[in-house]
Amino acid sequence: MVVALIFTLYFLLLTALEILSALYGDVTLGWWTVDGGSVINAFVLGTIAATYLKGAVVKRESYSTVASLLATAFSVLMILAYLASQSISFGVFGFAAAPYFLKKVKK
Amino acid sequence: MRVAMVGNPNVGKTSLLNALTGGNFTVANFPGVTVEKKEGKGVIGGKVVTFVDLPGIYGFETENLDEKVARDYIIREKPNLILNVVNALNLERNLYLTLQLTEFGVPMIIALNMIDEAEKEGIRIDEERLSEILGLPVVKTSAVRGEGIEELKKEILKGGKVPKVFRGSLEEKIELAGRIAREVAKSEKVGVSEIDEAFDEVFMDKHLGIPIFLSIMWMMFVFTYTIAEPFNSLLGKIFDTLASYISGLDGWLFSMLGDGVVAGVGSVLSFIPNIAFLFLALSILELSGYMPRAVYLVDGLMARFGLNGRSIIPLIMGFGCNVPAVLATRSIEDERVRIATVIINPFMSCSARLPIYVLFAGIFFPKTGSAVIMALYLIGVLIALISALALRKTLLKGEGEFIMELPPYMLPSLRELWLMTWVRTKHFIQKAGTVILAMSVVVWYITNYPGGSIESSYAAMLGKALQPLFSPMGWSWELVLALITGFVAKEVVVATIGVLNVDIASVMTPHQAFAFMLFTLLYMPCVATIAAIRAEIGTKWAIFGVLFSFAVAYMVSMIATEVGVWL
Repeated sequence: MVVALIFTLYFLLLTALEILSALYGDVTLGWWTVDGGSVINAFVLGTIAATYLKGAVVKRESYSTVASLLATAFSVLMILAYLASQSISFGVFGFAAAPYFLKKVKK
Repeated sequence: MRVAMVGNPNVGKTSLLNALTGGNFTVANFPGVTVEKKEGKGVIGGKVVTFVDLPGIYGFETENLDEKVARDYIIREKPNLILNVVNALNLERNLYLTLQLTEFGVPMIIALNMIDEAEKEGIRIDEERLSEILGLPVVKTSAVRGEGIEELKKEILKGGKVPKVFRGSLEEKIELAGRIAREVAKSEKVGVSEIDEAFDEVFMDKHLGIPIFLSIMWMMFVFTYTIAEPFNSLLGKIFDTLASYISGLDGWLFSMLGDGVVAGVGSVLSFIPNIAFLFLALSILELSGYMPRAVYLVDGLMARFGLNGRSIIPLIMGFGCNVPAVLATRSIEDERVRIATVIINPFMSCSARLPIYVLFAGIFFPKTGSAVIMALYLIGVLIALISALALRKTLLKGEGEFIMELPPYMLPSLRELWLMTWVRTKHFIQKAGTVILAMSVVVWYITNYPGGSIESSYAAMLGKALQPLFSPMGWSWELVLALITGFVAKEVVVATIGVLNVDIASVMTPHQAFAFMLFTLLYMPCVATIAAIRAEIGTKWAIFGVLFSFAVAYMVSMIATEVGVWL
C-alpha cells in the first residue's frame, strides 16, 4: 500500500504541473520544458492518481495494477504524441509506473 | 463446398472466419432483410470452400429475425456442412443450440472455440467424449491465437458427420445440454480468473469506472488525431503535388484527372491514417473485452435517457460508420428503444466526418485540435442522448429491460487486430474509389462548366441559390455546396473543398468554422445511412430522422455562431 500512496502523490504532482502547463503555457523543470499541457491530459493523470488512492484506501492491489496499466499506456501515447507533434506533456512521466505494472502482470 | 457457421453471439465466429479465410470475406445482407451476412472463401487442400457466417443465435424457438434468417438459410440453401462454433467457456448454454442443430440432418463439426481462455479458467473439456456422445467431430480451437485451425481445416475437408438427432421439448433439451456439459467438462477452479476479477473490480468501480472510460476515450482521440497527423500530412503533400503536376498538363482530361479525381479522392485518401488509427483503437477495445464492460458501465446512465446498455454498442459503432451501427440495433429487443437508438445514431460522429474535423481543426485550432475534435464527439453524444430522452418521453413512450453477458478479458493478437482494422479501412478506401471518385468528377464538372470558371459554373448557381438559407451562419456558397455534396457521403465535403480550392482560413472565422463542424456533425445522415434506417424502421421514421437531424443541426450551428460573435 506504500507503493500506492507514493504513486498517488507522484501522479497528483504530475496532474498539478499539467494544469499549470495548460493554464500558463511552458513549465520548466531544470532543463526540461513542458509546453503541451492540456486540461484533459490533467484529467487522465488525476484519474490515475485517484485510482491509486482508492487502492491505498481499500487496500486492494487490483487498483494499483490497473492504474499502472493506464499510466503506462498514457505515457507511451504521450511519447508518441511528442514524436508526432514536438509538443510534450507531463503524461510522459507515467512510464515510472511501467516496472510495477510489468511485475504485477508477470506475477 | 459451402459451410454455414452457426453459434451463439460472441463465441468468436468472425475471428474463426478470419482465421479460415485469411480475412478474405465480404459483408452484405441476407436477401430481403437487413441482417448482416459475412461470406468468405478459403482454399483448403486445393479446394475452394465458401464460409457463411450466420447471425449469432441462442436457439430456434422465438420469432427473432436472426433465428429466422439462420433457419431459412440452413433449410433453403442446404449448406454441405454446419460448423457449429461453441464457446468452451459456456458449454452448457452453447450445447442447447447444438442439440437443436442436430434436427436439420446436415453434416456437422463442432469447433470448441476460446479453448485457451477456458483452460486458463481451469475448465478441462474431454472433446473425445463429447464427440462420442454427439456423433460428431469436435475440434478444440482458439481463433484469436490461431490454434487448432489446421485440424479444423482437415475435418472440414472430410465433410463432417450427420449427427445423432436429439428430439424433445425445450426443457428436455436444456436438461440434456446440462447433463452432457457436466459429463465432458471439469472445472478445476471455481469462478473467474484473478486478472479478470481485478480488472472488473476497477474498470467497473462505481466511482472510477466512468472517469477511466472517459480517459480511455481521450487516449483513443489522441491516438487517432495527434499521432496519425504526420502520416496524414505526408499523404496530403503527395496528393497535392500529384494533382498540381497532372492538372498542369494540357487538355480537359488532365484537368479532370488532376483537379477532379486526384484532388478530390486524394483529399479524402490522405485521411486514411486517421481512419486506420481510429479503427485500430476500436478493435483493441472490442477484442480486449473492455467494450462490453463499457456497455455495462453506462447502462444506468443510458436508462436515464430512456435507452439501455445495449444501445451503447450501436452508438460506439457509429463512431466508425453509421450504416453497420444502424444494423447493429437489431440486438436491442425493445422496439421503442431500438427506434430511438436508430434515429439518434447519425449524431454519433462517424469516421467519414473525421477528415472534415481534422481539416478545420488543423487550420483554425492548431494547438487545441484534439480537444476540439473530442468536444465535437461529446456534443454529438450529448445531443443524441437529449434527443433519445425527448423521443422516449413523447413519440416512443414505454418501459424496457436489459440483460447481458461479459466475455473474459483477452490480450488481442496482432493478426486479429490487423485483420479487423484492415477490413474496416478497406471499406473506406473502396468508398473513395467508387462514390467519392464519381462525386469528385461530378463536382469537377459542375465547377468547370458551362462558363469555364467557378464563378459562372453550375456549382456556383446551386451554392448561391441555397446560400441565403445559411446566411445566419455566414458561410460562403462554396461551403454550402460542400454541404450539399456531403449528402452523398460525408467525406465528399472535404473533396469538394479540395476541388473548389477554397482557402477556408480566409473565408471564415474560428467560431464560424466550429459552427460548420457542428453542422456537418449533426445534419442529415448520408444516403447509405438513410437507406439503412429506412430498411430497419421504415420510410416514415427515415423521413422523420432526416428532417429532425437537419432541424437540430441548423439550430445548434446558429446558436454556436451567435455565441461565437457574442464572445
